[in-house]
Amino acid sequence: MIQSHLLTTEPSTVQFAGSTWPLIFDFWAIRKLGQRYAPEDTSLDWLRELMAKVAAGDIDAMCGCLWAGMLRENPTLTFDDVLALLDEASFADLVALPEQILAAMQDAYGIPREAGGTGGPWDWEVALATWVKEWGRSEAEFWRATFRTFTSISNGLAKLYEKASQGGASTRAPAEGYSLFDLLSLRGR
Amino acid sequence: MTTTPAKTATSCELGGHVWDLKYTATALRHLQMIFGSLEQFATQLLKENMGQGLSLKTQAILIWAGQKAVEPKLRLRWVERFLRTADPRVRMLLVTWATADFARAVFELAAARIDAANPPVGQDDEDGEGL
Repeated sequence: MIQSHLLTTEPSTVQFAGSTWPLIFDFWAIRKLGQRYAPEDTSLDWLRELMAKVAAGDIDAMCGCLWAGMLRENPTLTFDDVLALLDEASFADLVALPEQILAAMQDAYGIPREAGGTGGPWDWEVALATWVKEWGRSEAEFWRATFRTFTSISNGLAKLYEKASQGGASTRAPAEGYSLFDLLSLRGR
Repeated sequence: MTTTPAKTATSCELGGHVWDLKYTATALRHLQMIFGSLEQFATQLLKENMGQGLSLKTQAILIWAGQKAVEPKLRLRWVERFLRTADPRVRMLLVTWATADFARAVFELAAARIDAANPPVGQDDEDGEGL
């Protein structure tokens, strides 16, 4: 029920260039990806597009996702560092990577879906508790990171945000049935 | 069986510059960002007489991308100027070399995709034993 990879430090892994590399796709990773690929976007369409590019074998998208996923354990890593690692990858590695990266991202963020589809589950209480207690971040920051901007939440879940921001967030937020994709792209069910 | 990209290129001095074209991730990323489909670009190069029939700009991009892994600060403009002023035989050799190595990378990627889509028969047999 809970997106364990998102909420714990247990990473997913990918294999290339003869090594196994840990990937953690958390809020930080998604923010870094957003800053790189869609600094102006308030919806999460860019993430869907990015994942589609990864699926199609786009090396820039693959490299960006690997970089973001590796950042938690290697905060000083740059995009070019990861690109240099990819230079050591075999062609078979390059072909196998998209599926591995997407599996890791979907473990964390849920499956990007069209309207009417189903995404993975999500637990607000655990997510918020992890954010605050484990990562030492503020609750306000959680909501900012989750919803990105007020503009982006003005199309359906604004009421939810309003209630959540007024305190007692974890008890007022829906307990399950939302993936991070739902939250960030605000496509409630 | 696929080869490792890093092992497909050899360095060579042409026109007073040491070239070491490598069509690994760095180069393929640049070419993908500029031309989109790597397969279509490779086809275009092969159809245009191993790249000889393409514009100087396109030839320069192909060579610049291949050289970036070993010369990260190399500027496209420098490669364009090099090609414009180099002995035509040097330009022809360099473009042919780059086209051949890039096309090989694209073919190797395609071969790896076929390998991935068709796992060895023995693996299926093993899976079947448990049934």
